[in-house]
Amino acid sequence: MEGKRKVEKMFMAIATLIWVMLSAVLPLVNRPDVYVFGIPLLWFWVLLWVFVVPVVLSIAYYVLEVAP
Amino acid sequence: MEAFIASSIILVILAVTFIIGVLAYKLRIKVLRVDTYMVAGRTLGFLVTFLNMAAVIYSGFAFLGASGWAYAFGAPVLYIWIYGALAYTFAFFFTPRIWGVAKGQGLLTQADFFMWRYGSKLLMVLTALVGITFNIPYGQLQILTTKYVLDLATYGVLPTLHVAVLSFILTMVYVFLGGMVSVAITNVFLGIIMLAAMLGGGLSLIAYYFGGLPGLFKAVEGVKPQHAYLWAAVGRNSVQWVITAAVGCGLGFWVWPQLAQIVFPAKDVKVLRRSIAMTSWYHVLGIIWASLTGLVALGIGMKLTVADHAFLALIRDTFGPVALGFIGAAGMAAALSSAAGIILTQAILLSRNIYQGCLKPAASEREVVLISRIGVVIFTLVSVILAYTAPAYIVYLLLVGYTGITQMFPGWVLGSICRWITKEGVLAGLVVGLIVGVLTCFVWPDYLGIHSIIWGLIFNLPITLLVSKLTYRGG
Repeated sequence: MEGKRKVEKMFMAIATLIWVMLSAVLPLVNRPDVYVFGIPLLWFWVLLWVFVVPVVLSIAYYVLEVAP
Repeated sequence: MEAFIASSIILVILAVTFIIGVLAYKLRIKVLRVDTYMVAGRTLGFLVTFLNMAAVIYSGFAFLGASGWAYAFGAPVLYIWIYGALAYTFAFFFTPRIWGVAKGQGLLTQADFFMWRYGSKLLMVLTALVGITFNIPYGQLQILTTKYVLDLATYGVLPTLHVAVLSFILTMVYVFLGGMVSVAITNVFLGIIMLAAMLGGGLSLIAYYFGGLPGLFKAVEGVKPQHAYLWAAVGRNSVQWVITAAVGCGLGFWVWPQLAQIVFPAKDVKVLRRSIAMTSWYHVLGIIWASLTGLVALGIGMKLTVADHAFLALIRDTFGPVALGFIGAAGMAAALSSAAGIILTQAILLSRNIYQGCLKPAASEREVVLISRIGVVIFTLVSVILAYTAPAYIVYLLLVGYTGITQMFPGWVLGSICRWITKEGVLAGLVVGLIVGVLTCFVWPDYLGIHSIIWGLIFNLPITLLVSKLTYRGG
């Protein structure tokens, strides 16, 4: 139980990091002159982190609910 | 002929939806009890919980509106992508807690939680009324979205508002009969259609015209280079607006009472967490690709009088009536599945928290279900009347909806985590948050480029915390 709580807290920390990357960091990536793989940096950044969310949640679900 | 093909596909899918809804009631409900009608007896497994969640969350407005936003404004549409992502990371940790409380205490609605947690009838009724009121324009909006879909899909041949109202009423027939069971099982069908349309339609349009995202953005850069980033100092195209709108909506997302209503029916926490993880996949595979179709329309130089027509107009002009019928049916599915969840929630809040909670506490289960059904009829009629008359004030309710609902965040979320949050604190914060929210919606709209949700919370949260600290008596 204690171990599960620790793992849950770790995933909460990752979730907090995602919130920061998708909010506070936006002014830094709002650059009209920078493109990554042909995509404007702002769009690329948001797309990247938005795609990270289901991956993280799927792993969190597996670790917290299936693996134990 | 084209109108006939597209309309037929839409009508067939509507008929199948109706049959599934009625059959779900006939086959699944042996004895109609309050908890069966309101939360499907807390028996729903993964697939039904997941697709019910997705179908209720992604409304017709999200389906068509996101692409319209991308077409009209460009980068500000990113706030829709972001707030969904933020909301799911939050829900993964928050909803199991609230589900556990609901299961343990036998709570059936969000307002039940306020009654149980704060022991205040006033707070229960107030939250029920806020939930009912701010959902009224969303019910009406689903009819109008259905009309938008039909306008394009029928090539102007049918009286689209009448057909939209008829399809809305058909949906409400199975909501009336089976409550949450019928809504959830029907939403499995509708949720699959919606995802297939958003992902398939979006990807195929991008691939067909530009071969991929780099080509799409290159074309957009040639037409409207400012769509690639947030260029304004204030307003919708500013960075602070997108951040505050995304964070505000991310916080307010799970405060909507209909979302409590789709969380409570889950069988257990495992089902709930799995469903939330999968709905976050639904978000990235569905809404993102649907919204990018707005940029496709822009990139190919399509001239639209209504921006929200972007997705369907592209499908019609590119792939013809069969694809249009299918994607149009998916748009209508998105509208009607959300409407079903909204109307059911309004009816449940009326019967459970206003009728049974205040007027007649000794009401039997049968009576409460009857009042819920009467509520379904009442709110259906309200939505239909508003769809025909569409008074201007409904637009104001819509604008202030998210801001208003999110002011329940401290009572709903902090109240489930912190023992020392009191009813006095929540009431004071809620009232002040609503006043500030309304002022920053209409008098000083999104003052300094900061979304009114955040303005409301800036005043609401400290007041809730301060008054709670002052009035907490331990225990």
